[in-house]
Amino acid sequence: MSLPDQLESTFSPEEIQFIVENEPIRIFPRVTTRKTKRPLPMGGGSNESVRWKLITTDDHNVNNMVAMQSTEVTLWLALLLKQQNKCSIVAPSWLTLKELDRSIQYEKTHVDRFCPVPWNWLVLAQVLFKRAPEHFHDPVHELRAKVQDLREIRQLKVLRGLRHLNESHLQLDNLSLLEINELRPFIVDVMDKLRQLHTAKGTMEDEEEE
Amino acid sequence: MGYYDVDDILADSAEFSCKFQYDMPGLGYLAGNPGRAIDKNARLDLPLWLARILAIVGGSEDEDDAEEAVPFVELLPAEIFSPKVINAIKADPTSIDLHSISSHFLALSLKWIALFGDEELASICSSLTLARALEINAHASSVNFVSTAELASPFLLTLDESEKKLYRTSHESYKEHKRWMVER
Amino acid sequence: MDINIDDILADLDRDTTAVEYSDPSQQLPSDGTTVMMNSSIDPNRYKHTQIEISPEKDFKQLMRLWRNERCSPELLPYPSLLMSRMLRRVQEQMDHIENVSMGFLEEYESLEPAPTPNNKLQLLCMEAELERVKFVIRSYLRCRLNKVDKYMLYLRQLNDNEDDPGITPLNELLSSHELHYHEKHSAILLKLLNNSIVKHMPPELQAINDTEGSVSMVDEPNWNKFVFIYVKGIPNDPLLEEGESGKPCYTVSISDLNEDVELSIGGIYVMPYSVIRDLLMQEKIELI
Repeated sequence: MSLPDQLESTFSPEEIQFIVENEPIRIFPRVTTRKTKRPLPMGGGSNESVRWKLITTDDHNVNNMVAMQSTEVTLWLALLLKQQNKCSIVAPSWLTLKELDRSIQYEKTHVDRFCPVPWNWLVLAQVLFKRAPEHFHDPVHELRAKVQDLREIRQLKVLRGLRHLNESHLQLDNLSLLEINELRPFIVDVMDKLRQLHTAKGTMEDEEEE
Repeated sequence: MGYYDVDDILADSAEFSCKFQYDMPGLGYLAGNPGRAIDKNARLDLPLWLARILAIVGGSEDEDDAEEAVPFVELLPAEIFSPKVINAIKADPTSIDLHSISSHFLALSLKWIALFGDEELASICSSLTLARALEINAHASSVNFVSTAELASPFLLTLDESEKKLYRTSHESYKEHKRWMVER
Repeated sequence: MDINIDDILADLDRDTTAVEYSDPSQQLPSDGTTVMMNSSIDPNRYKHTQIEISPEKDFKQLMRLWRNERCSPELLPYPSLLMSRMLRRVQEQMDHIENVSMGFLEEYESLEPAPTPNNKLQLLCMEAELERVKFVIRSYLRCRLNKVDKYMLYLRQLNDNEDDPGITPLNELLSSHELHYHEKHSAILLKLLNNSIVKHMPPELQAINDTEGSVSMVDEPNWNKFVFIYVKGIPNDPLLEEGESGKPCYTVSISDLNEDVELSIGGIYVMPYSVIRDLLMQEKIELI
């Protein structure tokens, strides 16, 4: 009622995106917000209306933007500025054809583990492809294809890993948040069931011990 | 699980064969003969919630003897866990029609295992659950926006209730994430 | 890093904005009213808090709590001080946005040698941010309300076991609003149950919270539910050991399986909730 059933123990992909949007990203501003004169320490409100005041993130960087000098802001802010044509977003270093190829190669050579891509790689890639496609050096359609390749090879690996679901625990290092979220209902349900079966067979022994 | 869990209540009403170990005056209504008695060694199908308690609690004239008391009924080997079914599960867990055996097969097996401490059944059910879950996952993850996904494959018709739930929740998740990937 | 101490200190200074800025480049609070209030406060007092509390850290903490709450089977303790700070900031920011958009602050602008005409952009971002904060707060409270409903009877019972030190008292678990809601809602529901069914039953069958039978009538959180965790760790934690892989790790044991599991810092695991509950409460791991 107060929370939709399907959100009771997992997140929607939009919520995962929301989480990722709070992470910092590098931008090249097209506007300057830095003041020529520094405000006095306790001088009383001298330039209120032009200062940015943010309540979820440090607003130092947005108050000190200089056009074409790179700085770091949270992703949601970067996307908003980009939408208003006030900045360009610097694609993360792992999001190039060369680096993606390297990751794919890693996935192929290491059958028993996931490549240590950032925990938000899939969300970040998808969001930037859609919202800032012109800011990539490599052609976006090729990048998209590579990301898809990487996703699929990791999915296959996950699928093989699911055979080892058990009643005890599981280690899933380097699996990204979106990948986890997609698999969460399945993994939790199956492991819960296996645990119940395990517990059921134990109930008799416990009673005998008592 | 829980007091108000409908599936748990339904599972508990599944009937199992019992053999009475006493003459039971006045209980004839259980067998459709109101007013009569149930004889010792009579066989009768009883819902699990009743059979369970009768199979645990003993009846003895002699109160001191309570420890040794023979329970009111003996639960006979259950048909849904008969060697025929178990062998079919061992042979190929994904090809048996669990739903036709019992729509609450896994819930019942849990109860049965708890009742008898049946470790062998537990390990069979564990591999059954896992093997079928992987098959369910294969179906759940094939998301097709042209709506053929809803056209049930024969395998999906063999799922028991808990498996249907697993299919539903995981399919929903795959579908949502696919949708997001396409929209972005 | 201990939030409780932060909160207590913050509470002393709860009406100041300036102390919340840890960044030395931000000597100036962003609206005039708070500056006035600061000047009346003993400057020595907020020396400690200057290191600890910032809007940024608070928001990060709120995000963590929101995610933990969504993933955990049980209702987690309510962070009263953090929430009151967040709500106060939301209110102040709404006022601030209103002032900026109405041009009430324009007079100051004339003092600025070269005012940048991007109030609109700034407003757009501030409003977007505000909506984001409101979303998390709403979603967090909704998730909590959902659990208050779901575990209504269980929570009522917690109240009866007040003396048990292992149990968090209800008034620490719930906010005052949630407490009020829980009380009223359960009273209404129990009255309905009683009037429609229970009172027509024989007295010995009237219990709605019998936990002695084969199935307990009171739904408890599923303590063994599997959850995804990220092992964050805290620096110089004496509980950290060197694991097999050489990385620092926490060791937890799954008692009914007689298994010990090493949780390496930075690792992602699927674990039964009961096994990692203590680590979660100590903020050494996060639910993801």
